[in-house]
Parts: sequence; C-alpha cells; structure tokens
Amino acid sequence: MGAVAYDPKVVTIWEGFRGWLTDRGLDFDFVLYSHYERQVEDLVAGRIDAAWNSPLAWLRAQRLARVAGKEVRALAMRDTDRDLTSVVVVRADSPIERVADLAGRVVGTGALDSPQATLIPLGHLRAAGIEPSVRRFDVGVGLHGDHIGGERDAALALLAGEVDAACMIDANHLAFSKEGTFAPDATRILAQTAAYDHCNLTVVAGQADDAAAVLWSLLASMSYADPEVRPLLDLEGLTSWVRGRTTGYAALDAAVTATGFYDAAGRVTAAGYQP
Amino acid sequence: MTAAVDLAGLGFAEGAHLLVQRALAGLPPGGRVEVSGRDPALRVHLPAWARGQGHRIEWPSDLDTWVAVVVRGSATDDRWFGAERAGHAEPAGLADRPPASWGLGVRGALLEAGGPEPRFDLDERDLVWADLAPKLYAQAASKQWDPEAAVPWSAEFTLPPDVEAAVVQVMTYLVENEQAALIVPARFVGRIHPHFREVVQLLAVQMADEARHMSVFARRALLRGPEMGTSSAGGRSSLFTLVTESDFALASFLLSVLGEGTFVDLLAFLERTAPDPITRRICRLAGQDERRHVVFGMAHLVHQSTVDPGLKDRLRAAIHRRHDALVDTAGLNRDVFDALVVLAAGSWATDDIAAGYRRVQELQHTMDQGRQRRLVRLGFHQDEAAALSALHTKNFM
Repeated sequence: MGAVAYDPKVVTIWEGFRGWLTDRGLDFDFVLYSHYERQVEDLVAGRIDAAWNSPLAWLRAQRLARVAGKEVRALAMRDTDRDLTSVVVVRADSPIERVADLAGRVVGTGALDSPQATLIPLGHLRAAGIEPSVRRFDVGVGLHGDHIGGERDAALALLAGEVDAACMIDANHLAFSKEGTFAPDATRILAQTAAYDHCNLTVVAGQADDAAAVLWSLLASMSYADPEVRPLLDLEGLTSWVRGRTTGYAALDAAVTATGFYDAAGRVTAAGYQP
Repeated sequence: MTAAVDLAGLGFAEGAHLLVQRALAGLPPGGRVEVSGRDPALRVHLPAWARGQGHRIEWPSDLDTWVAVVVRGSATDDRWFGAERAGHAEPAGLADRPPASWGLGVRGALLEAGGPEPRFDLDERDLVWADLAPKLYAQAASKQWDPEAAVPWSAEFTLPPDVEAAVVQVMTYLVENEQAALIVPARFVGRIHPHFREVVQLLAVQMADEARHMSVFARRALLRGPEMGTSSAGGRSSLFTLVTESDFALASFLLSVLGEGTFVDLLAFLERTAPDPITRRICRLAGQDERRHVVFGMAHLVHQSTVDPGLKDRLRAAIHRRHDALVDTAGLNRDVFDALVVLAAGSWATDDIAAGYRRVQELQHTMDQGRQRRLVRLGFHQDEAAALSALHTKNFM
C-alpha cells in the first residue's frame, strides 16, 4: 500500500497498522511517497496494490485507470471522510454580505492542489457565477491539501487584511476558532459548500483482489474499543473504517475538469503545478 | 427518545460542545439530541465537531427553527471499554502488588486501557509501605519551617575564634552528611510504584527537609567567615557506602534506622552544647525532622520483618558488609571529634576539656544505646544488637 508522507506521524500510523495487520495474517507492507501523483501512477501501473488516496488522487486514479482499461475501487474510507464541507470566510466587518459581492475581490485559498481549501470552494463560487481573483497559499504542493499550512496562511492573510475572503475546510474553521486564531466575532462565514467526501483507500479491480478483501475485512474489524489500535485511529483521525463510497466526489470532479487540473486521460495539466 | 439542548448564543469556540456532550451522555449509542442555537457558525462547527467524535448529524427538514440532530456514536463508550480502576482510592485498600499498567495513573482512578507500562521495580506493598506513611506525611508537611523566619540569624553573640572554628567544622560535617541523606531517598523515589504515593510524598518531604538542613548548616558555617572546615576521606567513604546501597530496605535501615537515628542524638547533643543561639536553634529544628525520618524507616522495616523472615539476615549482612567496606578507613573525621570536644568543653581549661571529652564519650554511648534499642525492636536479640551496633560506622551517619 502506498501512503503519502505529509507528516512524520504517517510513519507511526502505518507502522502500527502494519504490525496489527500482519499479526492477523495479512502480508502487508507500505511504501511512502513524497506526493500523491507518483503514488497514483504506481497504483495504476501495478507497482503497489493499494493507495491511501486523497480525493484528488482518487479522481486521477479513476482517469488513469480508464485509459489503461482498468477499474479502480474505493475499498474503504474513514468514518470522518464523509460529508465534509468547506467554507468561505470574510472579516466580520467586511462589506461583503453575499457571495455575489466577491466579484472583483481577492479570495485566499490553500495550495493549488487542495481539494478542500482551493478546488471545491472555488468551484462553489464558480457555480454561483463568481470568478474572484485568487491568492493561493502554496504550502505542501503535491500533498493535495493534507498539510494545514496553506489554509492557516490564508486565514492569517484574511485577518491581516491582505485578502478579502479565505477558504478552508469546516474542521479547520472550528480549529482556528477554538485555538483563538479567529477571535470571537472577528470573522463571518459567507458561504458553505455542499457536503463532499474526502480520502479513500483505492485498489485496482483484478489486482490482488483476495488480499484486498482480507484487508477490508481486517480494517472493518478494527475497533475503537481495542486499546492497541485506538491510538493509531486517533492519530489518523477516525473512529471506524467504513466502506468506500464514490458518491461524494462530484463537486471535486467538476472542479478538476473545469480548471483543467487533470485531463481526461489523467495527465497533470494544471498550470504551475510542480509537486 | 430525543433529548434537546438549546445552546442559545453559545458557540463551539466557547465551549458549546460541553452542553452537547452532557445531553448525549445519558443516552445509549443511537440516542438522539436535538441541538438548537443562534451562533452563526453552529451549522459549520456542530457537524465538524460531531464527526470527530464519531457522532452522526441529521437535518430534519420539518422543523421551522434551526435544529440539527446529533445521533450518538459508540466511540465515547468504546474508549472506556476494558477500562479498570487502579485499585481503591484509600490506602486501606492497597494492592499487594499493583500492575505496571497502573503506572502513573492515580490510585482509584478509572484507567483507559492501553498506555505505557512503566516498570517501577519497588512495587511490593510489603517492601515499601508502612501504615503510618499517610499520617507521617501529613505531619511532616505541617511541620515544615521557613529557615529565614525560624532561625534568629541576626542574634548577637561573640565567640573566640577557635570556638567559632569548631562550630564551622561541625557545620561542614553536617552539610556533608545531610547531602548524602538527601541523595539516598532520591535514588528510590523514582523506583517506587506510584500506587504507594504517600511513601513517595513522605520521601519527597524528607528530601526537602535535608535540603533545608544543608542550607541552614552551610549558612551558619559561613556566618562569620568565608571558609568551610575539613572533609576527611574516611567520612566520605562512609557516606559513599550509603549512597551506593541499591536495596530499598537495606538503604532505609542503614540511613534512617542507624544513621539518622544516631544523628538525632548528635543534634540533641549540639542543641545542648552549642555556644550560640543560632547553632542551637538549627540543630533543634533539624533534629525534629530527623526523628520523623527514623520513625518511618522503623515503621516500614518493622512491618516488613513481620512478613519477611529473611529480612533480619539481610539487615545483619548489610551491617557486616558496610563494616568490612569501611574497615580500612578512619571513620569519623578527627577534626570533627575534636570540635565536638571543644564545644562540649566550652573553654580551654584542662578540667573543662576533660569534661568535654567525657561528654562526647557519653554521646557515643547514648548513640550506641539508641541503635541497640532500634535493633531490638526489629527483632534482634539484645546481645546481637549490641554486637551489631558496635559495627556501625564511626562516622555516625
């Protein structure tokens, strides 16, 4: 299985899961990638059997697989990967009252490959007929927004008056509010996207199917009541593994197509994207 | 059944989760709580919070006011599956041998399963505990004194230079010994299972006592001049055998029962014979503390001797071992002995010196009698107690 090393804790998490899975008879190992693009290419090329994918990586895997005459499946996801939203935030005293007021304004986003802080919220604005000027905060490019840095920088730029609005995932808006980055009553939520899904564990149909089936059954059996895996689940941010579903990626897919992030064959076509 | 909670204007950046959690707490997994509120960010924050807790959110469309329903997940219960109490909270219910998994968990607390299993090798009740420990700790804590306030540092007195030198010599010796008495418990405190926390607390206060003694004896030594007295190689060898003893029972025995017990007599002697009010006062204060240390050392060894028939043999062997290790050393610093005689004499007249010498001999006899009494209380026969006491280090501590 491939996983992207967006943070040192990734080693702790997958070392732990690896031990737990191998103890239960699955011949499992993981490979760390420095970014998602190579991971997805290796998955479809058959060099790895599974990939712990960002939603953007999932969409590229789909496109690459289609061209290669293969089919990818979302084997599993975290319970916390379902029904997320992103928000567009303005300063509380901003004259911007409606999404339409963003026309001609500067919107701060996360890295150009961040689904939650760039592609999906900008797609939301686009659907409302707004094409604002965008100031991107490119932190951790290639990590598909896994690194919080871009969202945090956009939030700080909003407070500093450098941008008129900032995009971020709902949980980070909560985190910035709780930690005090956003003082009470300092910001206002201007818009919230529809719910979408986040990461999934992607496999290729016909490739190590039996192992994938065992992997799923073992993941499904992981219990938050098990003190051995609970710290790992906490680190990875879930309370249970659930079946992968692919119904929550339409907004991102539309944004990828609209911005030409990937072409239909899964080639990277985003301007200036160098993971 | 659906519970309801109205957050009014309270947001999740201000603790709204507490009210939601409280409403969920009484429900089984699958239980529902209707949450309403006016905070503009609630629609974003409530689902984001609930997701992280493993709860689900539903949005009933048939209600006019803004309400979301939180459906309780099982993660909160799952976290406490397999949790156990770290024994009983009160010392009356102490475990004989608390497991390593209780580790740093507070006695009686509900411990989440998992977590580290630190090895505290002094984990047997009979090895470390004394029923007196909680009471002694409370007493020790209440008897702490402030060196600044409790000692008449500015009291006026004049001593001849050679008498002052004798005081400085004795103080130098006391600081050296108190330093060892601080290090010995320090080496065990981190090895005692926290289940026996009153013992740890007691040893911590004991160390604080010794630290205070070091400071007041050093301050007295330097009160009238910049130089300390001498430190003999034999004295330091004797203290080193204390510091290197790695067995808790034997270290308590050698330090508290024999060493500090002997020191109690020495400090009482100095309280009577010291030539100035400051020295008399600090010896009195230190003596009170040392008596407490002896009481604990005795209490836990008396208990241990009732459950461990082999203990007496080990104590006996420890005395012999220490004696053998020190047989080629001089024992008490001769300068200290002479200084004690000078202080007891009070003048350089020959008769007074002779009387002072006698009084120091009487002190040594008193020390010996005290050691014998304590050895008898630990179960030694009177004859053997006398023989063992005679083997005690000439350095007193």
